[in-house]
Amino acid sequence: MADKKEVLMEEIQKELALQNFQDLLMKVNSKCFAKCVPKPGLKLDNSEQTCLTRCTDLYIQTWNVVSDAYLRRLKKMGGA
Amino acid sequence: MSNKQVDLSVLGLDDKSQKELATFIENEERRAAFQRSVHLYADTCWDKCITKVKANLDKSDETCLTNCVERFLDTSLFVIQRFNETAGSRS
Repeated sequence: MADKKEVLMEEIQKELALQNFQDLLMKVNSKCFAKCVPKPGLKLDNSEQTCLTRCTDLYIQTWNVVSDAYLRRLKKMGGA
Repeated sequence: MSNKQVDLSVLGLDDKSQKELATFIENEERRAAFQRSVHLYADTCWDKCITKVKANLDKSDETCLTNCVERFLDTSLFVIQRFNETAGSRS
């Protein structure tokens, strides 16, 4: 019985983590393509690749700052 | 938090496990909803605050992003209040 519950909990967590990751991936792709590949050419050149690397990191940093800000606000409003 | 009544009885767990699982699901749903909101705010505030791609966020970026989130939430409350007011004056 305990094993079954644990397996279910793990599955649920994995599924939700995957969904969140896919959401993030879609956003990064969209935002960073817009910023780094203004004129799509025959391939991604070096400067575009550098930009995409930086942009990906930058978006993740942004996500974290936003997450912290939102959490702080929720705690202030007494709803976290 | 969630109004959905998930029927866990089909899983054939003992009562204690079933209750633990129900609580766990509730918490995970709350966390998932939080993350969906963060995705929305990050998207919006990225557009407002991040003009060029650099290696790291600086202090002014962080300030802009934080203000953006706070003001977005204030806007949400403001708009809801406005709808309440107009609804009141119509009745």
